[in-house]
Amino acid sequence: MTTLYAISILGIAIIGLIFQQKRIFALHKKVRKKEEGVEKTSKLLMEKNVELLDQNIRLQKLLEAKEDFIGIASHQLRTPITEIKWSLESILGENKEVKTISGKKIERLKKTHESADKMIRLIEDLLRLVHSEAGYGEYNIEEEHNIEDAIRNIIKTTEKRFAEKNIRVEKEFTFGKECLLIDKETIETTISNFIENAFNYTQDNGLIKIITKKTDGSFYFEVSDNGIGIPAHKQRAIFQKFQRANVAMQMNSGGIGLGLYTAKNIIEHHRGTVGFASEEGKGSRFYFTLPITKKKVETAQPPRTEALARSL
Amino acid sequence: MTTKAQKKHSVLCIEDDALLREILVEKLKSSGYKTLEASTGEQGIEVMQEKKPDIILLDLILPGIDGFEVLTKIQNNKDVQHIPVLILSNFGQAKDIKRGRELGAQDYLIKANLNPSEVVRKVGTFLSNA
Repeated sequence: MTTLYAISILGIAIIGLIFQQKRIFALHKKVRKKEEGVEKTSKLLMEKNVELLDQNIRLQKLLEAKEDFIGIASHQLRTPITEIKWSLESILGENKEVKTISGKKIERLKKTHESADKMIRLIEDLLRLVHSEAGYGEYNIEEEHNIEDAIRNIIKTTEKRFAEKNIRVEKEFTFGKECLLIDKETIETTISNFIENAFNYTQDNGLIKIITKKTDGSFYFEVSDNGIGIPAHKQRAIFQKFQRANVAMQMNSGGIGLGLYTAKNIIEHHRGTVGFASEEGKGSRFYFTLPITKKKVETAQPPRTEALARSL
Repeated sequence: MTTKAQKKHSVLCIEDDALLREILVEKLKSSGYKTLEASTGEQGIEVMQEKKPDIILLDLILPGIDGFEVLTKIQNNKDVQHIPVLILSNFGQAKDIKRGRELGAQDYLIKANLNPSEVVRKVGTFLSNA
């Protein structure tokens, strides 16, 4: 009896095992199928990855070619203007106090010198624009700079011209000596641009006021004038590319309308804000703010294809 | 402006644009410097090897070897590697500036942004700090 009992239990156990085995086998099959699927997908992904990498390399090469082209073009543009500028300085002398040429002719040479400088600034503007649109920010935000000193220096270089138009410049600097982590060159470009605009759009005997202060933990810079102002319907597009009020065109200020667009790009790259208020015939007030950032704090950089390609 | 110390200093201008070279050399001379000139990189290296100037103003786009190659040659040449080099070029993108500095240039001046008198002042500041 006991053996029969034992045999039947063994039999059941064997049958159970066989079923189990079958199930395992079926599961294995399923897993194998899934595995094949995964393999296929990963193969596809790898292929796509290679494709993407390839495209990225091509894209980067294209960007590099563009970059090289801009570099060469800017060199070619700058060189003849440098020849004009340097020749003029050698004729006029450092302080433009030439003695051998007289009267009107000196004035014309001085004007030519100014035009050469204007042309150089335009090339810089254009270059910066192309760079920022290509995602290549020419920013060097590694050092802290005394921004008020920078502003004072810029004002110094314009004093003579302001005096010639008899424009009074009022300064109200309360920000102090604190240094900011900024790209000095581009911020100086922005400050010059605001001051230059005020100069261009203010008539003789006008008044320009320049303010620095600390507000809400930020640096605040403002240039206001009692010049021609901006008509209401032109105000919306003021920070867009190639926008200049008609009145400004008539005043022949010589810009091509990239200044404020560039300024906005620069300030926003520094995580600051720009703004203005203006009334036609009464004047304008342009301002920007910059966060007070210190060294070793990470700053936002525009995405670079180079880095992207490397990370893949 | 001109001091006695400046008078002793000699400046080598490696610049292929004859007009710019002439204006710059004239300004340097009138500010009391001794000047040496070269219109190609190869010639520049020859001159610096022979005359050992106190400072070199180096253009980047030159016929024959370019300014970057000149910098490399200076770095590898014991006789002249101590001489400070200021790049003076209209080629001025961030990557060029970085490359120039990596190759040992002390400063990178963009011609169009400066007047000759400002270039001479930079030379003066550099020599007085050196």
